[in-house]
Amino acid sequence: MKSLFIAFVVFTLGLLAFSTYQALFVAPTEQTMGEVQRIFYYHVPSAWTAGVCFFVNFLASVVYLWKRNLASDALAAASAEVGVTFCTIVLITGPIWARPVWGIWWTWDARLTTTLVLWLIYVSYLVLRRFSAGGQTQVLAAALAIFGFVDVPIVYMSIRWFRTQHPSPVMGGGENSGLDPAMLHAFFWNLLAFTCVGIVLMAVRYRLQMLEETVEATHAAAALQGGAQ
Amino acid sequence: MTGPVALKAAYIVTWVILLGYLGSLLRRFRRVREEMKDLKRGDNTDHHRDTEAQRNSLQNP
Repeated sequence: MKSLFIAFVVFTLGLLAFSTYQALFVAPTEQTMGEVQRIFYYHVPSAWTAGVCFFVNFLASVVYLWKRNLASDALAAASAEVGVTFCTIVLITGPIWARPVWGIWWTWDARLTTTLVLWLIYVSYLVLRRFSAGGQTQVLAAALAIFGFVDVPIVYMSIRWFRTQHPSPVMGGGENSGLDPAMLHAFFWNLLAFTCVGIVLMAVRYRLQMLEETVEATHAAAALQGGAQ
Repeated sequence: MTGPVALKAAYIVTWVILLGYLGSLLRRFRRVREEMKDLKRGDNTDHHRDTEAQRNSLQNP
């Protein structure tokens, strides 16, 4: 199992190098925006990976509330943290792109605002897990995760439902949407690479969570034993 | 901020965040492993202490 994971990490690193090369050197330069458009190849896959992580968090939280098993709670914690990391990348690379293209760093349009709200929801989730004391922390966190996930489809649909300054959807956005085939190629490689990075980080974080739970349980058992003597 | 500068900044920020997060995970791993080692050592010490006590009680009932 360990060697399989190491092989997957090596594959992911190779894929990341290849996809970055595709984004920076192979994909054609966009005519209107120029070089800055290449931020798209990191920005959108980061948003996609964050969405996948939050979906995993949602599923794991539902399973935790249903079965109350430690593994699903650990997966929920891991996926939320990795999701917040990717969402942070989205919220930073977006304004870096916006400044030269729009002339402003930020605007309170539907897509940007709902994404910021999404980030805040999952940061609250992590704060709750980290600082809440008592036996109900995992249950409260799972409930927050289920309600919080409602914002994910809202973020996705915001540029379809509202008139926003954010660019309209590139994929599945109607007749005038779409990418040049060479750009699409680079985009899909990056989408795959970022998804694999997300999986690797979630696996590492999950393992860490399980170890932390073991240490905590051992401490608790030792304290009980000490108390009994 | 010009286009090429923004492009470099965005790619650097992405890598810094990802590597920073990976670094924090590895640090936390090291801390947990050390804690586990300490716990095991504590268990062994307890076990050793218990065995000593048993031996003493057998020798001096």
